[in-house]
Amino acid sequence: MSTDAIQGLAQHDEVAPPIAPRMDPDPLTGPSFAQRMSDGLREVNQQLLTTQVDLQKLAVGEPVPLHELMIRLEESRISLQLMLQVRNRVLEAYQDMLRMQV
Amino acid sequence: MDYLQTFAISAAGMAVERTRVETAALNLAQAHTAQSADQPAFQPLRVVATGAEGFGGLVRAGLESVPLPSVTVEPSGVPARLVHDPGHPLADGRGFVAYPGVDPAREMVTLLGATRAYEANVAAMNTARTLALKTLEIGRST
Amino acid sequence: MPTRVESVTTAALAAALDAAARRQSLSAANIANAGTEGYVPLRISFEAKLEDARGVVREQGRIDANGLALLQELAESLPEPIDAMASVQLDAEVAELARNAVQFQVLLQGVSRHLALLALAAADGRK
Repeated sequence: MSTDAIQGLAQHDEVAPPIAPRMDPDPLTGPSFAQRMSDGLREVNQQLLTTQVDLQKLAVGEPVPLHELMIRLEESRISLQLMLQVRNRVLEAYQDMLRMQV
Repeated sequence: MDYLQTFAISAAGMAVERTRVETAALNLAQAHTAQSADQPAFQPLRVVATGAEGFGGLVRAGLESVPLPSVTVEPSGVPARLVHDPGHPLADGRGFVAYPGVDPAREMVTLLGATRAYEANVAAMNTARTLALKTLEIGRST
Repeated sequence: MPTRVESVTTAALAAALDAAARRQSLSAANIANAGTEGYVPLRISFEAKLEDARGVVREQGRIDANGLALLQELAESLPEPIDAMASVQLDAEVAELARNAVQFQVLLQGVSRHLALLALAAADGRK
């Protein structure tokens, strides 16, 4: 059974796709880990800000496409959760390193 | 489209249908009222519902601002129905009594059509409401 | 007032919820009085001023103190008759009831998820 027909559905994504992870093939010349962390942080922050503005528009009565709002809310929640998990892991790794006996 | 606007659209449609029903009921009620010489004659009323622009304009505008139907009630200008009844107190010189030119069959058909259209508008509104409430369930804990 | 996290959005949504609840009880009162002699249906007629707040949100990209104050005024404003000779139109009132109920649900979901986001951040990712 070919899945080509199902691939065609991907062309109908009207909602902005979620933040895709960057797969940099070359770890030596690509952006540093710190750079990637701060980029990711900035993107999550931007998404949260957009969500807040959408909610404010909703409160004032400005027309907001409801399905986009709900999807963006859920994406914000998931990306915030992911960011917090990454931060927790990084902190744990750092603490592990601090505990190492020289 | 703004989900709130769909309610306004359905409400406007229901108002049009309700006006149709009221007009038809009024016409039927007045169908057999004889008209005397010193009273202004009752003209059966007709409802004229117009959309603000044609369908082409709607498609061009892209459903951003949807024109709502507007309704005016005006006399239909149908000539009076003359019935020969010399003994009637309101008969004119030639023995004819004038009744409003109301066609009961047409009014009944209008009533049926307006009822169905009203129900259709209610169905549209209920569907819009269900869709909006379902949209709220996106991301609800599974 | 102590500064709270993201209090603007929370306050705006809370004021909108207040307004929606008042509109709901007003619509119900209109319907209940449909058969009352001489009753004129009431509405909260503040909507025109809200248009200013909406314009601000459109231009500046977020609500400001004025817009928030307008919204809170709306939640406390008195209802007025639509016009002196109007009578209760049942289908319009029921449509308003349905519209308002959906609006209330949407605002409720918005507040609930917004606060859940804040709680997630405050709990450090651990529940």
